[in-house]
Amino acid sequence: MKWQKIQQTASGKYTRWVLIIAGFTALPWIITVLPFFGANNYTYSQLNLWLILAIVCLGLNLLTGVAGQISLGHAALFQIGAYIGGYFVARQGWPVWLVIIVAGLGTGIAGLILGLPALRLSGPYLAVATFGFSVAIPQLLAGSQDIAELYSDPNELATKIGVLTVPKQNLPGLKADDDLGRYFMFLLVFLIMLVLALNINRSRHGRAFYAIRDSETAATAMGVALGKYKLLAFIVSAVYAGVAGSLFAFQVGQLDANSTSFSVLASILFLTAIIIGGLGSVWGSVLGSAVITILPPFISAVNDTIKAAFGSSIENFESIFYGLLILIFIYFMPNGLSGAFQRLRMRYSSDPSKGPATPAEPAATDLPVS
Amino acid sequence: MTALAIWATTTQPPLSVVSQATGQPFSWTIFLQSVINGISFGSIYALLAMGIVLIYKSSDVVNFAQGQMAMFLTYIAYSGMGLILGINFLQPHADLPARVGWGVFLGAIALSLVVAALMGMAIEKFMLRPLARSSVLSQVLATIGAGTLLYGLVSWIWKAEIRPFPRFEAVAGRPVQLGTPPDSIIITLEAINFLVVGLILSFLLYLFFRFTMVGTALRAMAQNAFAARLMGINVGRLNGLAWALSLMLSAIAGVLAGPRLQLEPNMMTDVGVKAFAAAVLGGMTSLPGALLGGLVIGIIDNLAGYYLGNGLQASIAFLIIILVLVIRPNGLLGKTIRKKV
Amino acid sequence: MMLRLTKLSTLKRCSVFLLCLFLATLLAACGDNTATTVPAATTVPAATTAAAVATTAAPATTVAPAATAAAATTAAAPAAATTLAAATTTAASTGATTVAGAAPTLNTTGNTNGVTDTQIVIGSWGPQSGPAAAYGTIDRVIDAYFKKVNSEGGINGRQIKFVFQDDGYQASMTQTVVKKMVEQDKVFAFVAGLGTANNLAVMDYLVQNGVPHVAPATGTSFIANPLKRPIFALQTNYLVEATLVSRYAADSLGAKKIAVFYQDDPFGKEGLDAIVGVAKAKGKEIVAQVSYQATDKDFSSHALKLQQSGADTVIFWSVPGPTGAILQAISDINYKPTILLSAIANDPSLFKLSANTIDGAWTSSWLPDVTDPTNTDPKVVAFRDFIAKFAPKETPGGFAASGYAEAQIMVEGLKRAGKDLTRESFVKALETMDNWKEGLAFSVSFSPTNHQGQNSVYFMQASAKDNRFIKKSDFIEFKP
Repeated sequence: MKWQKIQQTASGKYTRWVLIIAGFTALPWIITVLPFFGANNYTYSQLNLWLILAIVCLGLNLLTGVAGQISLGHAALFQIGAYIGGYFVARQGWPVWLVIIVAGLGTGIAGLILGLPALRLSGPYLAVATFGFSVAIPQLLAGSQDIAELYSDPNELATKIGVLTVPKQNLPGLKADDDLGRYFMFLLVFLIMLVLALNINRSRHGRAFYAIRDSETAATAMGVALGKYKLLAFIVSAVYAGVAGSLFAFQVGQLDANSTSFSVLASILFLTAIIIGGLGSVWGSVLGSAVITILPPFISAVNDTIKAAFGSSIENFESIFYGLLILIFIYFMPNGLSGAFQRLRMRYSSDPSKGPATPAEPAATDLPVS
Repeated sequence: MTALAIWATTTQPPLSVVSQATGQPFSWTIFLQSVINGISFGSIYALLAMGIVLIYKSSDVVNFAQGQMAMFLTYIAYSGMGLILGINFLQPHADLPARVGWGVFLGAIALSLVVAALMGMAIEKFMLRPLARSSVLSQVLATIGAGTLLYGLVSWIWKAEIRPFPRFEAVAGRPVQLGTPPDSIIITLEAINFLVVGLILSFLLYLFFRFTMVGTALRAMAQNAFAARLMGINVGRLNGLAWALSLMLSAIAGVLAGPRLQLEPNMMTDVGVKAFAAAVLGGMTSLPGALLGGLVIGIIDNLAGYYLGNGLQASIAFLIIILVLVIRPNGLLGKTIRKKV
Repeated sequence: MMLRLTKLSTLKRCSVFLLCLFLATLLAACGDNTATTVPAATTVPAATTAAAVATTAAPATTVAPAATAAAATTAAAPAAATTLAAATTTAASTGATTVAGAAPTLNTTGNTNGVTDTQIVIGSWGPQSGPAAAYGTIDRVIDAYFKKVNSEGGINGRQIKFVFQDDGYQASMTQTVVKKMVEQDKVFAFVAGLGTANNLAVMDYLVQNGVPHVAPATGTSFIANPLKRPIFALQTNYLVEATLVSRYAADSLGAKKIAVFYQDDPFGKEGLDAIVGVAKAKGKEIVAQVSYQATDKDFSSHALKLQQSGADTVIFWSVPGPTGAILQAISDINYKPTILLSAIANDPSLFKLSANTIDGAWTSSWLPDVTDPTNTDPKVVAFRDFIAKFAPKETPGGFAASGYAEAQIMVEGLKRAGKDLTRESFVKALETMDNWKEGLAFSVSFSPTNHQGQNSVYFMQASAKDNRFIKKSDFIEFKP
């Protein structure tokens, strides 16, 4: 009797989440089925970088895909998160979980600053303003010796040359350089951020974001406080980037302000990931970041084949590949991977109610010009 | 009062606080020299920025790949020189002369312009027309994608190694010196050339828009593409023309600045970004604005670099742009456009 | 803010519940507890839970537990087949103990990774893409050098298999690809891994796992100082080089007021640090420290600043492209100080990149000048012949020469280690190299207490007339 009740409560969705969590937990072992991936730290560190990228993309998707605000400054937010996380772990020795939260909140404040120009700007103007942020932050962090000395012993060579060391962090009881252990730590954070993102999407705030994206004027008319919600979108998105940034510091164990991981190229990579996944789709962001993570080994394998066939590999082959990839998705799959999956599900599902559960995710091509 | 007195007794203007960064007393000569250096590079930013504005005005597309396209066209000009001189330009250690004369220079520019025009029309027709009704984001990403692709292709064809770009003989002479040292200002012929070409081209563009049929049609289209179409204007072809013009400007900028920037796939990364900022600063819809924006960015960049330190040069330029934009959301010379719902 | 538990739907409640459960499982599994604490009711499949516990139960070994290792060898068979056909048997037998080991002594059990009777797997990383793609030459030349060695019969009957990975110059990618090469491709040792930050990022990992890295393609002094048992630096490091350069400026070129122009990154800052140190010791004044970003194109304000500082000597710690541009900018404003360049900038292309304004500038080098056509040093001639025959597509300049020199050290070490090749014997063999002069590098010495192969540079002066650098001094050894 009681069991039946439990079964009723735990219908469809419950099993779905059990499967999702089980799937993510088993992923380090499942993934070894793929070529290029064995059961070793290489595979696990790829998974970790994927989770980090996925968290950034979840946040960027909220801002760009859901609230319709373009940002080329997310790599800078990511960097701020990494530096805050690195500082509190390296110098203050705070517990890791607390540091992740602090990094998220601290970056949220930076997001507020980044969002301020958005109150008055849109389209290309906003793109330039956020781009400027992306240029300025690495310069500020690289140029300041004070910041370097906040981290580590000023007499150490690494500090003098601007490479800041952060002790790698892992789950308690594990070796610092155990990537598998770190996977579970990151997974936990990722799942929390994922659930949060799904919730935001369906909340009152999420609906306000959608309204702003579709038409600012109409949204205002409906009583959405434009400024408040735009700023909120930037802040929430920055929190995601900050959390991911701190995880990145724990994973890599060193911070170099001039690194390409924090340059505007990284911002473009984040945008590419959400376009590939499908704008506005939470699961799309996760998929898109997976594609971006899995590509480099694939690309270098292709390049090796070219090298074997023609005698020399192609410099910057990656760029050709990414360029084509972006164009292919924009022209042939404007809804990204999630759109493609949805179409498949619609085709093979007899139950129309199993269609999109989130508020309609319009195609990238349907977004208004703002 | 004491502050005032000190200010009066020393001949230093208020900038003295800032100039402490250099450890030197303030000097108007240095200030002017910085401004002149800024104008020199600013003219290059302006040329690219005008290209960005042309495209944005005609088709509402923000071309994030203007720099990469200019880079590609510079490589084309370089290859043109190689073709004319009969040198295999694909070799990374290709031995092009350090200076080239009128014939080679003009030939290379002509080749680059032709390729620019064809490329512009092709990009418009096959790449952006299908996206005419898409979001800003997909258009922006499409141009970023095209830029990334060009970057990869150039590295593939010409290799990523840095190589010198031949100088144009007529402007490679000794710099002009005004005044006697140490209070002298030095202007290179190249810098004068940048500015003069920039001014002439913008004047020609002004004449084109003001007095030709096609120019008028372009202006009409920029104001209201739908109405222009009703008036019998072939909007697609005009967009193609705007793209062609824009890339031709970039080709000229690339060839002019080539010796300074040196030929490599990244040669225009920084310039492209600053040109973009210049276009936005000027107002995105105004050609004189783009010219002004380019010069202003060049000058700010140099002044900030000299007085505030080179580490923060780009940051300060962008900070100022953001401030200007927050005060004037449509840029310095841009018009406020009320959007209809 | 977003998550009000009371208003949650069933789905959300379930997800929160599951998350808590998951957290509990994790915390339980991560303590010092054994399998009994893992609840049977968790959603985690039994096999994976067991595996997770196994990992924690044996914290000394960082490899995946035996069960998964076995699964991997079957599942990852295609990958193994493509990357390492001959060594599959070794991989399978040593899979579980691959990376066990601790510094400072190298673990001698099962560390024959990448070595079979017929093959040695050597790895490297460096950018083949991105802003630094031009450095790709180094790895490609090394690849060609190993092909040459293989075509001459290999080393002690073994052929070299060279695996090099593109890290796009990103430290996070370097960590990833190095882990791949160590744990999946089973490389025996690395040669010429590129980049300062990139090397710093993988240093601990390589040391902990006892993987030798010979002649990293960076001059940071961190490589060999402090000494790390498996790491061997070849090129004269930036600290030593900058010290020798600034001493030369002060003692031989009569510098009084020195200005430094440096790249705002680890490379530039290390040079700056040494130059400032020498100036202090010698009582010279540093009148300006002007930095630039790697992407900068407009150097007029930098040039103006250098000129206004009144320096009689400017030391440039910069890479070739920007060096060419700043030299032009300096000449444009009629500023003519004594110029000294970092060895990284002494590329022959600089004559054209600087429109010959480099004339008269001083520079140092740790490798013989391979671009000098009059240089008939047999080592240089051998290098030119090698490039012409095995890597005709590469520019025979500084990058190619350093790749060549680095590969030579690797090969010499492997030869000395003999038929019985292990990581331990390899490291010991390298430490027997004393004043070794058969390679392109001037003189290489390693010992159990010194892993910095070369400590000397010689000075050259640029001559626009001859279009090359002309040697002006012999090799000068560094003495602290």
